[in-house]
Amino acid sequence: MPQLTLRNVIKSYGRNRAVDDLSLEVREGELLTLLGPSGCGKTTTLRAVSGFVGLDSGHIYIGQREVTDIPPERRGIGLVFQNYALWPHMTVFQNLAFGLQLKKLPAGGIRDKVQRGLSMVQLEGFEHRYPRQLSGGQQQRVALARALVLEPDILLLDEPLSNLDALLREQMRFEIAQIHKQAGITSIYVTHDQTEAMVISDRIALLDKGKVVQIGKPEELYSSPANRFVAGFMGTTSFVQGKVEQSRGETIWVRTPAGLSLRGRGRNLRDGQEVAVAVRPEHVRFLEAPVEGAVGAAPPPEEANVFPARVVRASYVGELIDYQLDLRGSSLRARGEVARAVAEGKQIRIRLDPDNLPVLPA
Amino acid sequence: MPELPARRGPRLAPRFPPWLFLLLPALSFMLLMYGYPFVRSFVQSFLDAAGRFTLANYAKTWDLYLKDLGFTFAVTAFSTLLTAVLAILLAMYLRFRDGPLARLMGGLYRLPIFIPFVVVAQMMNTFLAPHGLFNLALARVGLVNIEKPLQLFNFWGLSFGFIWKMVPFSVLIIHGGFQMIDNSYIEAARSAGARTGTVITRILMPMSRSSILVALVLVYSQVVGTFTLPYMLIGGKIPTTITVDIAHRVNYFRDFGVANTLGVFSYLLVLVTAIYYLRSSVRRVTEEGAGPR
Repeated sequence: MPQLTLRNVIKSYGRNRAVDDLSLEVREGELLTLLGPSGCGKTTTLRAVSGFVGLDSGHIYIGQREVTDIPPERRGIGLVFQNYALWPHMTVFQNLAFGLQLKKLPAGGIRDKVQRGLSMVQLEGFEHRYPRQLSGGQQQRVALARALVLEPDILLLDEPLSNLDALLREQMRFEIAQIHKQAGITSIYVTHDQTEAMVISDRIALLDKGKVVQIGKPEELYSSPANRFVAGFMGTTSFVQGKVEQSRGETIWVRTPAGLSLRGRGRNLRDGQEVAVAVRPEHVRFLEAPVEGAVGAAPPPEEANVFPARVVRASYVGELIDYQLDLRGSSLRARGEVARAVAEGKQIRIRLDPDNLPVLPA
Repeated sequence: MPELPARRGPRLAPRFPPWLFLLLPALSFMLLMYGYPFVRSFVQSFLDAAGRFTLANYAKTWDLYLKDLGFTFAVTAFSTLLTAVLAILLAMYLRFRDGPLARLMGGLYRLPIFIPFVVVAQMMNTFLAPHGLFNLALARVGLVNIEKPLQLFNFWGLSFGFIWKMVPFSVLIIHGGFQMIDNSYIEAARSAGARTGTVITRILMPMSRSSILVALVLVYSQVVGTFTLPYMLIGGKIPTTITVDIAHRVNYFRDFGVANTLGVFSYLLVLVTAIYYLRSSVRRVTEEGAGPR
């Protein structure tokens, strides 16, 4: 499978620059997710790759072939849409066979390919049904099979799970990842759901205002966010504001306005610089049972990042408790075991893991 | 076999919810204004002047107006088909093209909808006349000898007038249908390798089948029953349409029996499309009702 390359792609709508000098490479057989909030340019980028949106400038290559000015029907792409876009007047078989017939394949070959496609998405026996006779999940699988039977060079998936209910969406994530692995087609997946992106993707490109903010493996974006936007977008994150007090290599000490000294890690920061410390809920550890009247108590000197905090809110979310803590005026999110629940209003001591505390420019 | 005890309980009688009475005014109006005249004209086609049952009206109609019946059907079918083709092409253009020209077309094409048939007839009289604008234009480009101009106050001129009047109306309906189809259906086809022609014939038209059908049925029904245009363009010449014949039988002979018989034939002409339309609608509703299995 060829790789996909975008070079300096620019696309504007009036004064609004939807894609702003975007360059990226999708490796052979890789599933790259374009992730970002609404209006970040992810769908425009996808549509530019598909050929349905013309570029103001820039180049798109599939393998060594430049496809920038080639019409969509000759690009060799497969498209899966959010609304499935199954043709309602055709049966499942006819939907899958449509593109194969246009390629003028013999009837027997078409039948075999359709059967293989349906088998890949586990919908054997559904050939003669119409889209309206299928559930949302089944329709999405047919849409995927319709794109796959054509054996496209590039597969483009535009928020394909958005119309499904939460339970089915979760199940389909794994199925799509599995089918992609099986088919091995170079793919771009567009979503605004970071959990979905993390489950499905080989790599994620996080977009904001038409630019790639950070690109990398899901765990890289999660654990080493390039900036505050990435940290805020990838999972639940609380930010503690402060100034760089001291730095030694990648170890940074941050002084908060409330006088706390936090140790974290960061790069290219100078002393006195305004920063935000990104705190993930799973990196907040409850040290002990609630302690009455412990507010303001100084942490033991041998332990870094140990602070007193107050439980503002404790919400039961099933397998754990979701806490909102007050850390001397900064709001933190934390999670704890149901068996060791802490009541709202209690004073506790917490430790913030210094190795997992990115310090980012504010 | 043991005898079953008699069922006791409330008597099962047809129940009419009181709100059904709200339908009475509308229902009465329809029965009085549409149902009664229709049934009366149908019955009268089988009665002679003395009110006795007869088939003489049908025999007379068959003898005198068979050619006109064929002419009416031919003009109607031809106009409807050509209207459909032109309307689909124009609707496609408006669906796929954007820009000043498409926007101008999108506004202009609706104008004939607001022009009454009598004005259309007068326009066609001058436009299609032997020395009218059409013949003069053709003569100017050398396609016609103005000494032997095209005679268009016949099948062709009448069809031209009907098409001119009915295309915009059909475009309005068909374009509406096309507009309702999300771009993703078209893009899915194009990404599968379909070119514009294939997208139109295999995706857009089948998906807009109901709006195309509605347009065809409405055009057909309207053309069958139009009097003004054929009367002013062809008049009493043979062949002409049955609407002109009906007027002729009533105005000159007070022959309501034959007039009603011609009316029955016009119902039959419309009935063909009405049945087709209703069957398609029922099938669509049934299919749409079939949810996921």
